[in-house]
Amino acid sequence: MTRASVGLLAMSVPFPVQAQSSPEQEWSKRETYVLEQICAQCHVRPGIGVPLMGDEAEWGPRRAAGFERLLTNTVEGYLGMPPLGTCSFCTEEELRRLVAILSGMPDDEGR
Amino acid sequence: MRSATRRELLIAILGSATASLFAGCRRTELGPPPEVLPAFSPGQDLPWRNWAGNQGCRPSRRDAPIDEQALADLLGRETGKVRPVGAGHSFSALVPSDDTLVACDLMNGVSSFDSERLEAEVWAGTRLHALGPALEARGQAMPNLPDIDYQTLGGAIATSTHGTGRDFGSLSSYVTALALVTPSGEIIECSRAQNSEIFDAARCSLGSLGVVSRMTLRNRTPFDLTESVSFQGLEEALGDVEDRRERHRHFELYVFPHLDAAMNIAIDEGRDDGASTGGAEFSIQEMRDVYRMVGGVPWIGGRLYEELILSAADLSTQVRSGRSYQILANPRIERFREMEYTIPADAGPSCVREILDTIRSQAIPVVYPIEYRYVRGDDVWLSMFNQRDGCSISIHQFADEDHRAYFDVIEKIFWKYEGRPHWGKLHSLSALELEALYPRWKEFAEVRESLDPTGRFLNEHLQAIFGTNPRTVQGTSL
Repeated sequence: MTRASVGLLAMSVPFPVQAQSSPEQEWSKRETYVLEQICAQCHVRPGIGVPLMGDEAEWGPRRAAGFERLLTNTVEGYLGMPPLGTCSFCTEEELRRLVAILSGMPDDEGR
Repeated sequence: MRSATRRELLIAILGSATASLFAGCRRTELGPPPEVLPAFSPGQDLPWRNWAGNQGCRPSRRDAPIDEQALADLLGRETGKVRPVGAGHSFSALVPSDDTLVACDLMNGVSSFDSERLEAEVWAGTRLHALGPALEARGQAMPNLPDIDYQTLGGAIATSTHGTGRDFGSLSSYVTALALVTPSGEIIECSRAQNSEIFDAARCSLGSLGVVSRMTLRNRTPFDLTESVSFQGLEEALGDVEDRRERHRHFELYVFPHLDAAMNIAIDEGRDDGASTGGAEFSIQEMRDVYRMVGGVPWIGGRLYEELILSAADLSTQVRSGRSYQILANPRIERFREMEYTIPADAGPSCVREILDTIRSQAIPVVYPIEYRYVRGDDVWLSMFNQRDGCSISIHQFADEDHRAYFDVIEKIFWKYEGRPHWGKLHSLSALELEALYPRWKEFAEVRESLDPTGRFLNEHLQAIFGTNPRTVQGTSL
């Protein structure tokens, strides 16, 4: 899986994760690991000044910049966001899927 | 700070009152020259950058083996340069390579444990923040942790990453056995009783011997801690520092450039059920804003900055309790650059006084607090604490400001105190100086050369560190 375990993660935060995952998309073990063990370390941790998964007030203005800008900021780092989200092995494809689920914004490329 | 309203009002008043004095002083003009780091271009090889954003490369291959044999096969197959990478939290250029980066992240978790010996074998890719709950589920806990827990265990061990506490060594000193996958793809089991020289070298190797894939940690039973954060005047705090080192399980001090104030963080075993759960709020950004507005005002800027900060700050003692791994490590969202040297423990107060005097006398524009910690000596060959108890002093600068002039001045003070640089943080030393600081340097070099005779695991930074390349390379590390 692993939409199931991503869904379990999502139950801990007010975010419609399933809505971001089309039926044909399967989350790889790598992606699930990165989401749960790396992204979640900040993005489901309230009170540290990081936009939380599912927080529309926080993500709305960021989405306005466009998906590619969010992706570039993720890869290169931006303000408090560390480059690659500290995932040194993530591929561009994996980062696209992770950015989409965290921001609630579909990838421009339709991935 | 006493209240957000008062704080915001203070900032707003200061902003309007002083904006005209510093109308041309925008962040971009204060920042360092753009660093030449590879940029992201969709569809092309992804660049790698470290957490702080001051190191980067564009590796032609990035791999994350799913198990130890896959790692061994990969190293045996590769013919070019290879560098191991963890969470990328090192400020120094340990990782960059345009050949192959190898991450152990997919080799994570506790592989086995011994409840009688209170030891656990852990895969190198395990993030420190995941290790606390994983060990607790097995009736164990690490005795100490660094104050940031984003790192992988493998990366932390490779750089002798440490916390604070007179009786506690770095994480490397708690490793009782390890498996090293050598550059040729051989898996070597090491401990005090087996391949002991490789064991002494690999417990802190800068990732130069191959890849440490798993290690056994000496732990203890799970426990609670209570942290107390209190403020004192600077001289009073420095006068008490050695007494506090003796009295508390963990003690660290933050001293503030241009302020007559210090923050004591004392952590002791036990739980205070009446303690606040919030902990101390430390607003470095507000200090930065105030300093930018008034710090440069001729004659009175320094005094004004001090009065404004101290009058608005909440200096009451704050207490929090929790499981050990919840109290010892803290989130760090503000990105910064850091230099840290470890000097002999007893020289700590003198050294930090000299640093503060230098900052004031040279009017160095820095607000980031200086961190001051104690770490027990160990027998790890390249540990900064090898054969001596240490006082680790760290200086920081915001990631979007130029740290170089500040770090350059302070680094020379560290050298006067026989300081050893933290391997994962910024410094400008290379082989000649480092060899004189480490009693077992030669032995380490022999082990390294035997395992990697062609230097496949050495990038430019490590070539300078180990003296296999001209010293001219070292300047790039700052």
